[in-house]
Amino acid sequence: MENISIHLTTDPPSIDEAFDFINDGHYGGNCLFIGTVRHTTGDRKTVALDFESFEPMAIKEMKKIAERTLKQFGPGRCYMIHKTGKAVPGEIVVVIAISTAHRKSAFKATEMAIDQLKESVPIWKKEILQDGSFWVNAHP
Amino acid sequence: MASTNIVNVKVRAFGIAADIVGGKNFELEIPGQCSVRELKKMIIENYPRFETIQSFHIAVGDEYAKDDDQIIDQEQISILPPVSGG
Repeated sequence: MENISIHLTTDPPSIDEAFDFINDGHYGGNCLFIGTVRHTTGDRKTVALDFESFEPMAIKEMKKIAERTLKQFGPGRCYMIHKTGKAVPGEIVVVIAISTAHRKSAFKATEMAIDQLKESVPIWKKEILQDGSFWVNAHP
Repeated sequence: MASTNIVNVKVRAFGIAADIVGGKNFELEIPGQCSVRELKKMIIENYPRFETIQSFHIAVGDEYAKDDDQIIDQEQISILPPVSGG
């Protein structure tokens, strides 16, 4: 589908590229979710996050989410990008940009897309602290 | 294929699953007819540390598999621990 663009990248995700893709003049509500790396987890200092993905499946699952989201809240456009490899505090790791006719549907669509990405896309985050590291969500 | 046949399947492990099995790729001997549910049990028997993690899914090819799905020889299996993207 030409109204959907999905990427995994080891380079920093570009907000401009995401916005340029969704802003084609057809839709007036443009919403961007930008996820960045926090400096701390609880009271521990984060040195970096290291993302691993099962690339072909991750792309496929992200596409499914984009299609479902636009089916529910569209018509519209959707751009999703997630970084893999290391990212330090302050760096952008995920951008989800969605345009729909009006603002409310764009907000809802973007929230649904990031929530579903966190639930089903095969990407794993290792948190690297000053005194060790752990896989996020791995343990109960 | 008779159910007594033993076949080798290639298994890929991601995230904490790779730490548990000690590598990203390994082979597992499974019965010729085996469901995803049975495969999960075998993985836990071979690597008991899987019992300590939250949960894990199996992918066949690049799709999530359901517990009742049958594993067929030559399929690429992946162990997917709880995801944490975003």
